[in-house]
Amino acid sequence: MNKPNMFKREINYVLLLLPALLIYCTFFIIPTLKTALYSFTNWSDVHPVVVKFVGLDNYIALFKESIYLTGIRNTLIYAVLAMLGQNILAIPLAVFLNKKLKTKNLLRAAFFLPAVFSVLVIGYLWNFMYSPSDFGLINQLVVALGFERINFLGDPHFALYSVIIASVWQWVGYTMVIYLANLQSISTDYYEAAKIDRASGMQMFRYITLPLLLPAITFNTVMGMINGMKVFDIVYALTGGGPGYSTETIVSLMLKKGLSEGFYSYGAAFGIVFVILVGIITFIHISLIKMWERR
Amino acid sequence: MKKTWLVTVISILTLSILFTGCGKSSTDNSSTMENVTPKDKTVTKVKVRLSYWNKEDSVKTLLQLFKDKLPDVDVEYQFIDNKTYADVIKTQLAAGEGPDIIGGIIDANTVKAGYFEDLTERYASKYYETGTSTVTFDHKLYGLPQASWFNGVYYNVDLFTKYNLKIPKTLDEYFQVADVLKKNGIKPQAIGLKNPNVAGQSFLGLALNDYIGTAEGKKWNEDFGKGTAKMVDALEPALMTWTEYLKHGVFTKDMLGLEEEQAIDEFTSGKAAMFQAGPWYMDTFKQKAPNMKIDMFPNLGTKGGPGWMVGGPGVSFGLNAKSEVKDAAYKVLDLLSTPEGQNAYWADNKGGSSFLKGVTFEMPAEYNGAQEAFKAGNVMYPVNNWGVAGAAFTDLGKGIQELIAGTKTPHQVLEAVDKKATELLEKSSK
Repeated sequence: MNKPNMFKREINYVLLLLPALLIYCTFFIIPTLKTALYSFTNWSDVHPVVVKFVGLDNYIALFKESIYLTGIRNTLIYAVLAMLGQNILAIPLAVFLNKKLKTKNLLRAAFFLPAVFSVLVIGYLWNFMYSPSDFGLINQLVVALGFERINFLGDPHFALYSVIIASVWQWVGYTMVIYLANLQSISTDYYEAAKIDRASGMQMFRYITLPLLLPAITFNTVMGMINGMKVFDIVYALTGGGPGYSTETIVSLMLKKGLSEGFYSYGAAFGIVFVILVGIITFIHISLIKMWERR
Repeated sequence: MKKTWLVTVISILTLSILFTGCGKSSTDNSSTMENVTPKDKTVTKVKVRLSYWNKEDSVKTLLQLFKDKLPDVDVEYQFIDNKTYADVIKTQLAAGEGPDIIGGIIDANTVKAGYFEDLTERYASKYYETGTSTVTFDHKLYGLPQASWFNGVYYNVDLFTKYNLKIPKTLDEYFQVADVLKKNGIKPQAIGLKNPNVAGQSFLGLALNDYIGTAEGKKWNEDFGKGTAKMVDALEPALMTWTEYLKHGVFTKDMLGLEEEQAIDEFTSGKAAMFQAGPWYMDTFKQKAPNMKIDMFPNLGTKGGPGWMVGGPGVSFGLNAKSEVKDAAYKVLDLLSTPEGQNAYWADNKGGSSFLKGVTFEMPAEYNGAQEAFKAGNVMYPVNNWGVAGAAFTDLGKGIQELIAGTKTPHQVLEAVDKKATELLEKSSK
């Protein structure tokens, strides 16, 4: 193909990509670059117009405060546990609901339903379920069984894990649907052959289902991890970051410092650290998945 | 060739849609004009957006008054939850937008940023200085203070009568009352300590009695707002005393997981005998327990006396300097600054007093037990004097949560608040 013809063919694709590229640049690239720029200034609500370059001051201050390290630690714990919880529960659930059951559509809808609601609604619901008062549903059961009340959201040692449980409950159905789609694409020939070889159910799951579910596992774990790193809404609805600062996350602190207290440049620096952190973790995560794929 | 043209046209269309979405519409901001045709007359209504963190029910009479008295103005009420209110409004203001009339967030920083219109000439002489002092900067008024707010301790009169309990005058007496209630299976006080603001206000009630309410304490409070005094030096004894609530089992760790709404349920169902709050919950109490007899006593200290109410001027309404409908917004503020306007606001916020000269309200019977504190003028919200360091109050509340959880000492809590206050003051002074 000669050059002018190639150009004509390529220009079609370029033009089709252009709107998406513009949207991407307008809403991600440019704001990210501007955020990076502001992170080296003293921009705040007191200095909204005249800003000064302050070098790495914001980044240095960030790592000096223990509260930000708490936020990073909480975010990592949340992201890893919520991602693992969702996937560990969703895979067997999807396998079970992929069987020929009369109620399978009803059960699929029931498990998926929590994902339809706003996170704030789910937070409000779990707030009442976790309540330490006499009106708290779970504690009513706990007391009826003869145990002591559990301070789900008021104990700094439990609060984050209580939030993770609520989040896993909400998203396990969504994760299950993706596994179901993947399961339906696996040919039944493999299972029939395995049955002839007298493979047990567990062996079929381990040597056929799990390896062939890898595309869905990759998608669910990577997305689960990224969404986990961005967590804000469920924490906000359930604990507001408390008690004290025990459930603060990167995004909640970014909002507190960057917006509520007016330290915009400081919030920007935290945002950049966050982007880098998400990038590194996603890279490690994908590399591990690829290693598993190669095995 | 046809394909190339098709792709080009689609791309142009997509781009035009994209940029239309990004563009600022002349009608989507604060000012919208709509033609209303009542029978044969055409009245042009100007939309004025008014934002506040209390639900519409808390201003419904006032909104009705605007509707009745200002036929050419359409006041659109925007409720934004208190938890996100400041963030939402400040973000809008930073973008040169935002509601026309804004409740709250008028402080040295927002005024310095030029977000609010100077209201001095038109309104300063109409309001008492006690109300306007918190929204006056460099002798200029930026907000119109509404009926004052206060909080004390509501108590269930029937439960107190049943167990022959007297209204406590000191903290010791309070703990004696609490012991009797606990022995009878009643929770002494319901409190939603999950909210750091509630935790902070509980401490302020005691701190006002034991230190901040004294002449020395008032001086300290002003100095703290200027950055010349530390909290850890002044309030550590009061915070140590406050931990008595924990030692007596009145406040417990499980209350850190309790929302205010859940605490209200405990109070209105008779499971708890007391609840610290203000008039804004009276309607809720009446809805949930119409037959419950309620009274209020002031927040207590160790030394006795008339007690203190935590409170001060209520929300102040300011005018967005970037509003495109200032004339209409002024009409709204003018009406608000009349006895009629004040009465309409008070109708849904009964309990406070007006700062508009010549307007007085009658205190409802539910606050009889707190009259002595009111008569002594013992109503104060110390945070009002903290200026830009006021945001450190959230850190105080969170610190108190950590104190209850046992992860920090009173000294560490107050030191952390001092650190935050210094940071906020330094930012403002640079």
